[in-house]
Amino acid sequence: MFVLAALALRPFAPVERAVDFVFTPTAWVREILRPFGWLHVREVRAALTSAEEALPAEREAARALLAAQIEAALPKDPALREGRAFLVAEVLERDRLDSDILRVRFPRGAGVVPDMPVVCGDTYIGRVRDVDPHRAGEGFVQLVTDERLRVAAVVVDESVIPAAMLVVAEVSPPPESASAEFVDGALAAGALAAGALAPDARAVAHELAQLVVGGLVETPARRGGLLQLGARHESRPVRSGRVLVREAGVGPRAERRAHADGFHLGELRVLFTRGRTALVVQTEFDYAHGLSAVAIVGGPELSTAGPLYADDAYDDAGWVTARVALAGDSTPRRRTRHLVLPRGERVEVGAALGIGARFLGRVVSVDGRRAVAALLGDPALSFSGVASIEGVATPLHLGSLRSIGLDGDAVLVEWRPGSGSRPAGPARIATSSGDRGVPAGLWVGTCTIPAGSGPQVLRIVPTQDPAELLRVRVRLATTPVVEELP
Amino acid sequence: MRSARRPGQRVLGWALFLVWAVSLAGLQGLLARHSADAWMPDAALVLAVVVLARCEVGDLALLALLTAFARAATSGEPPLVLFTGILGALLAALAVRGALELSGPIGRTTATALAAGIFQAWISIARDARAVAGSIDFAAAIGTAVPVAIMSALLAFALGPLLARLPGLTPLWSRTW
Repeated sequence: MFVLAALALRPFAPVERAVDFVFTPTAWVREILRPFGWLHVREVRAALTSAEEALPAEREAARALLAAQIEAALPKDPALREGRAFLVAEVLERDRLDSDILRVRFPRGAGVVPDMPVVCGDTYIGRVRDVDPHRAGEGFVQLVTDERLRVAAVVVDESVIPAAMLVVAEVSPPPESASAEFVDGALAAGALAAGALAPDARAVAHELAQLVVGGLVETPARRGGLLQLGARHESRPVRSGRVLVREAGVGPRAERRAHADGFHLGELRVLFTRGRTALVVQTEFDYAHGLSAVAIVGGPELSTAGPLYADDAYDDAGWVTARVALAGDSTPRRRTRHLVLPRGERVEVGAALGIGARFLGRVVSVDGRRAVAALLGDPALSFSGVASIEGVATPLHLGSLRSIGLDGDAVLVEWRPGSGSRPAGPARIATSSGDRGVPAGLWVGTCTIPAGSGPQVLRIVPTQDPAELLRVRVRLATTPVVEELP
Repeated sequence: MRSARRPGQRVLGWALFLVWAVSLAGLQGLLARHSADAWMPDAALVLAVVVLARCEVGDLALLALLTAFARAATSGEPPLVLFTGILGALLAALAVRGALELSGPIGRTTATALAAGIFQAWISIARDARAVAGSIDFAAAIGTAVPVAIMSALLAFALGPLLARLPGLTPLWSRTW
């Protein structure tokens, strides 16, 4: 009994396969039970008709949402767009063993190479680590939260003298009010304003100090949801100011990295913990949840033409129609369906279920032509979501949403928002990038995004009740295409 | 009094038990297809406890296997999880049989509540353990098990005698009832 229990909790593939083989006749039993599903065939037809009729409008709305999401990934500051090109990449998933590594997808043949910076809006988030040689159009991004990544940066004080340029090396000795160890950015800027610097220094730079940034610092603030990047002074120390990327070095790699110059990292802070001072860069960017579309930065020669995303949710070739073997689940609180897949089609665990432009659930296990799917409302379902909030132009990326059950007609999902302010109000929820097998832009339902902080439960009224369907579309696995690398 | 059924009759009895268990599970799944309500009985398991009250102790493994078979046909849980859970639940019910008469209302209700609660909690624990995150929420598992245990116990209390009289099951009884 204990051995069985251990094998059930920690699956051992050969045993699992043997047991599944013993239970093969259950598939025949499901076929015998099929007539149960015919009892509500009228409901099924009505649901199919509704989804087909709504498809054109829902598809256009979803494309507008994706376009807004992509626009949000591009820099807002016109100065950051000058002399550079931006290739939007879709975040496919995080590395299971290393959450600081993202797998991204971009148009094939776009010329993406390692060391190209990756940004989201005006924020620097990391750089391309490498391009996947086995899957054309996919690569890995190393986030700045990875302690192995180091990015050169400068501290500036825009609040006091936005346009003035200040070189730390030319600042007069720090005022007595500043500590002996650190120079306050505002004080240094004040010194500039008071004429402590040579007049020509004003026109040179507004950089207070040079830093090296990378990795996360473990602090109480991090446990509260606020991320702080580790930093180390490379030049005279300062204690506050805005931190921008300013890559150094020469050669092709350094040139590629330098396309990130000027992008934001956060605010410089000095922490006093356990009797020691630590220099950190506090960022409001939500690295844990806020990544669905990112922009790879290159020179003007970078090819940026292509569709919204390399993987189009509405391309019929990416889907296959499967039959629901049994309309129901005998386990209380579960909402799963056994599916029968067409012969010869390749479906992977995690593949999306949909109908028209609507999201229904995901495949949780596949065995040949048979698959089991968790529908909306099933506790085993999770997916990445994005909210289109009424009156807010920029979509709110929600990150991972975990279905926890039903409340009447609504689906309850658990949402762990990141720190920082965010919009609230009535919203339409769609799938977002971040899960392999689930394309961005399938409508999930409507809900109200709450304003509070901490974990939230969203009550989503689904666009489509998956329980009503006897045929669904299942996302096909993408076939790896090897690209000839130069 | 020991039963003196012929093997053919017992095979037919077990086949009919499977038919009834599959039908109950399928009907339950169909009726609950629009909901994911926690306040649902586990009808196939209730039938298994009712049969356990009357069958040979040696038939326990077969009873668990056929019940798991019925559940696997109508549920998305992995068969190994179902079989292990049902075997554990029926062992717990068997332990109750040592103290109380399972065919009576108190014994039947108590054993069903225990078996259904254990099985439902096991399902939740196994799902958490097999998930990528792998962290098990024991409190949530118990929270989901209690409503199922109560509803299953009520079903066993109310309909236990009727389930015991389903056509074709008498060859499985160890005594004359």
